[in-house]
Amino acid sequence: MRVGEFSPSALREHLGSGGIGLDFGAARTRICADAPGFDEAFSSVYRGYEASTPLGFFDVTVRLRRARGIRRHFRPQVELVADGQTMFAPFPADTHLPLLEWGMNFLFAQRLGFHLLLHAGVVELDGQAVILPAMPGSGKSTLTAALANRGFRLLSDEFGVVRFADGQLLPLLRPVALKNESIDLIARFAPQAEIGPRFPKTRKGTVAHMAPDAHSIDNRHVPASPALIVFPRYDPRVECAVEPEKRSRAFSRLTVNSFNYEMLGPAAFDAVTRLVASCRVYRLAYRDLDRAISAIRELLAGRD
Amino acid sequence: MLDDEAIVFNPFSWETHLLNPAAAIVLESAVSAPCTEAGIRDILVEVLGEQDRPRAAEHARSLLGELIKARLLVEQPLSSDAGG
Repeated sequence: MRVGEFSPSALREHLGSGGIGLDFGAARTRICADAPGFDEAFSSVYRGYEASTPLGFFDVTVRLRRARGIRRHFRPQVELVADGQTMFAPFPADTHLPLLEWGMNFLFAQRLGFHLLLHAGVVELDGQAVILPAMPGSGKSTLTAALANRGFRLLSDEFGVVRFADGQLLPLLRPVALKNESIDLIARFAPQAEIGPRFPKTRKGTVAHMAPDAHSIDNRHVPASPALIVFPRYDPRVECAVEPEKRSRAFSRLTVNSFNYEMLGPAAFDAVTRLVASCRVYRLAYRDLDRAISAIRELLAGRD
Repeated sequence: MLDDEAIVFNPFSWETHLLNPAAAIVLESAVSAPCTEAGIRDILVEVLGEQDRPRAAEHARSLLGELIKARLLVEQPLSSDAGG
């Protein structure tokens, strides 16, 4: 049964008791929640996901709950508990979904050490994966969301999960986190995109999440072969400009944009070496999403 | 080697280094056999050209210093029976 098929009361009951299991592809999470308004926000961005019974193995088990203490009487807060331990300082009660998403990002980055984890958006077209590594604020999630709304399969907007055994990219498919101006930009660019509620005044400004499409969800266990690495950078002065990037520089940038490169040592070195050697590598500055997508399609087709 | 530069992983420190072409050639030579500063200078002259011989000695010294600092090379005193 998919999350969107639960009645509001049934969803609230499941989340508030044993929780709901979600399978993101490379990892599974059990989510429990007792936070006012969370179930509605959760359903709006996870409606297409199959909800599994909360039994079995989960990489992460998280519980969102109302924070205790005297503060709750004048400024309600929520806190995130992972496997019995409270993580982070409590958030305002109305920022439950961003707290869940950031908490899961943090936990995946810590726990999925059996894969190389790049800080990157990943999409796929015709079996070819496009990896978009970037620092926060570079327009990575915006471009990833735009590509996902123009025929590319979404694997992740946050994690480039590289399987050591064969270098394949694995989906870790979750809603795309859009921030500030990007929310309206994507809403205008792709009116069909399902964007959940907006959460103003978070630590990163206003945040909203775009639900993955059904095709991406149904194929969350299908890996993709790395073909193209594009380092994106939103630049209001540039409509769209593509330049080749040196592989050695790409190597450095990938390691800087990795969650666990330094922890994994030689295995990570070999994985990044293989990744860089097997991909064509470019820098992309853009302000026009349509032009940027056309440029990526051209690069995938072997035209640069 | 990636393009004209080299990425090196140090299995002892688990650090990764990006080396320019000259450093990559010097390290490759030093890994295959122990070498002296004079030997490094001669390698650099080959890379830079004879006209840069005056600069090569200074360049060799600083390059060796960088590679030792990065723990990619280890400095050892010359033994009395060493040929170099």
